[in-house]
Amino acid sequence: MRSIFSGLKRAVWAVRPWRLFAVLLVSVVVGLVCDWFRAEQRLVFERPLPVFHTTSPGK
Amino acid sequence: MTHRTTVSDRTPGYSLVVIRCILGTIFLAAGGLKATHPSDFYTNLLAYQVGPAVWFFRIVAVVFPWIEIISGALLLAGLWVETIGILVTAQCLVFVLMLGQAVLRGLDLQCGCFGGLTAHWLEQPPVAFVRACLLLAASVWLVILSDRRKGPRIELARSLASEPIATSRGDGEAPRESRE
Repeated sequence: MRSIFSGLKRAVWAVRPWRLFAVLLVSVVVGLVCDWFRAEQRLVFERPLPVFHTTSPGK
Repeated sequence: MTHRTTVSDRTPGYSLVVIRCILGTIFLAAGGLKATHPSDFYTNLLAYQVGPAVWFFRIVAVVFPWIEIISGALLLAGLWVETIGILVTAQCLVFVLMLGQAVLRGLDLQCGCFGGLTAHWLEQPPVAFVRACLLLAASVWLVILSDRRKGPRIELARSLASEPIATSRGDGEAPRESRE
């Protein structure tokens, strides 16, 4: 168990931050671009809700 | 010269490749299925009933599948394994924590791991929790094995770079070792 934790600790120190940053940046950009082009099902760039104007039936 | 036998010495190199390919395929498939139906994934995330605000889950539903896709593709290609291994381990840890709290709270939900497109029983929290634990164990093994396998190579390269080349003196004597 101790060797697992020390191995993990060494592996965490071996991470190259720029590579991690690049992967995360590409994911964010691609995800947001895909969301933008998904016209009907946008989650982040939601279209504004339609505004309803009610008028009285007499008019 | 003594050499201590470690787990990585006894483990054949192809097991590392097999784990890498299995994890890569699973993450690529899971990410691809989620990326095609982000609104379903968003609905699944809301069912976990955990803290962060709704806008956070919207961003996660859009971005997370692409992190999985890129991680899976890089694992399959064998690129940046030291970084991607940790990223995959972190993702598996998040899966375990999310599913663990869902199991403990007895939430009736679909895990959404594969975009809700697999068999219903496979998406149940207890099954998904066991699957996530197995994935976490595999990713930890991958990280540790790849780190240990890399270690001796780096030490060898350093020693080769620092040591002067041992040459024979021509009198039949074996080449001297300049350093221990």
